[in-house]
Amino acid sequence: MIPFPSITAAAQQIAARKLSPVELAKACLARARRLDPVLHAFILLTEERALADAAASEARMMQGMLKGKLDGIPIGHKDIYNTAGIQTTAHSRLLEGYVPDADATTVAKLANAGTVMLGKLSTHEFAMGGPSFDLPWPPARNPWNPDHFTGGSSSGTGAATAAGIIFGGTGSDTGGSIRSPAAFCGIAGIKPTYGLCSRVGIQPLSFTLDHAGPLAWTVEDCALLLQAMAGYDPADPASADRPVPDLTARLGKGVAGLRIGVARAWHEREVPVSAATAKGLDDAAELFRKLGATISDIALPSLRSFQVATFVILSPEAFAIHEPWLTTRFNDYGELLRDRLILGGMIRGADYVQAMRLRRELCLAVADAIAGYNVVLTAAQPTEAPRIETVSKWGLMERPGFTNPANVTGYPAMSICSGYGEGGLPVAIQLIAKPFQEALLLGAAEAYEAATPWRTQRPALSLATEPVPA
Amino acid sequence: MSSTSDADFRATLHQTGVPLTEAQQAALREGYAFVETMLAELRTPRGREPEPAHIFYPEQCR
Repeated sequence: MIPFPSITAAAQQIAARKLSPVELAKACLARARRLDPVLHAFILLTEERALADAAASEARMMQGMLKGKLDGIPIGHKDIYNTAGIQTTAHSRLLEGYVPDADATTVAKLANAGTVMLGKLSTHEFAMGGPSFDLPWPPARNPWNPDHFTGGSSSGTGAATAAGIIFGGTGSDTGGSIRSPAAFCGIAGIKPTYGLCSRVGIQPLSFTLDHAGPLAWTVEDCALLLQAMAGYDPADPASADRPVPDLTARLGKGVAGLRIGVARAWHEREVPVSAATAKGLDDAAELFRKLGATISDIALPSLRSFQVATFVILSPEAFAIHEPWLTTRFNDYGELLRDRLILGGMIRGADYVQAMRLRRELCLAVADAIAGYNVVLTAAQPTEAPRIETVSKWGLMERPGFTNPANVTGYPAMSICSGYGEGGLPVAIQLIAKPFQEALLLGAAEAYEAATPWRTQRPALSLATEPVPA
Repeated sequence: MSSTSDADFRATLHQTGVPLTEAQQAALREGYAFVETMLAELRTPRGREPEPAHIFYPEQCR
């Protein structure tokens, strides 16, 4: 077995009976035991469940009854996804010991596709409070350098995927929580269109901004995981009642004829990016041009306007969810989350409505600006990952984020690795497409990935053959 | 620099209903300054017509 096969490569070997799902699960569990004392990517390693899932997959393999490319593939779930009979903590003392009766819809869908659940993954507390050091579990660490931040809040999924412990996993994205760890950990992550994936059974943060989606090593692996996760769920009032197309349909088809807009003002003037990030953006634009796309600059509303809309919508929605616990168990929260949440209770109802009106204006402005384009190219993060202890409590408000626009508009967006910075950690680009154009988005991202060398390099730590000392 | 007086800040904080120590209240002043700036930008007049971006499906309200 090659050390780090993609889902597609592993699936081919499983289908050919050259790779045992049980042996694959055991190899991933062994890697978790070697690396997780340093990475802290897991809240819970579900070893018995993983081996049972893998045995069932192996039985299907032997009977020629495999369910598809995800059958026998080890994954993990961000610990805000409910898992029946398995503790779901949201990385919080508030939910310590909570065992849901039912799987989140997306967890059930991935299980039905034959995936092997390796464990529950670290997050920022309730997907907003991190990286925190005063919780029952430590924050996840970046496998490219454990002194550095993973991004968040899908931090464990980012770390475990980059380290090759899992092939991918679930994340959620309210202001950038899939794309941020994907960028900082050097992997791929897609936030689909609002409504494509059910939110049922996922601990909520902000009802109108929460999105579920996958992170994985490659774009194609993201497509396979998203295909399994997507689909209408009548139990989710925001779920889109429409058929899910073949999300792999444009993989390998290139970008010839596509019109790609570069949101240059964002990264050159409003939020300047590092030299490595800027080079990644320039090189990506040139690559897309060589591959046959038409490249031009696109003018979009300021990142600041999206940041204001995001914060003034997210914070009161999150406060409303947490108010009962904030008023009775305030000190059971980590400091970061409780201080961030309480600000949401200080925002007037009228301001929340104004933010929703601003959101409508931004949606209309983006729809108008993007009409002549297929894809927008921008940064995912301004730099490589900072040292973990330097992450600010008020970071969401200090500087506009490149990821917020796709949450405010609900557009699908994807972060993919675009090289490495001066510190040796990954940098990333972000691609944004029109609503429900995930297949096109994935196709463009895969065209970039196939033409660049970034998937040939894994974190050195992940190659360890002995337990890594904490 | 916050433009809200200490008394107004405490009154707004009191409305959350969350019991806080003096130290916890003080720790929030820095964060609230960012919120004030955002709210000032948000309160730009936009007329009466623009609708909020709520999602509402009446057929689900049975």
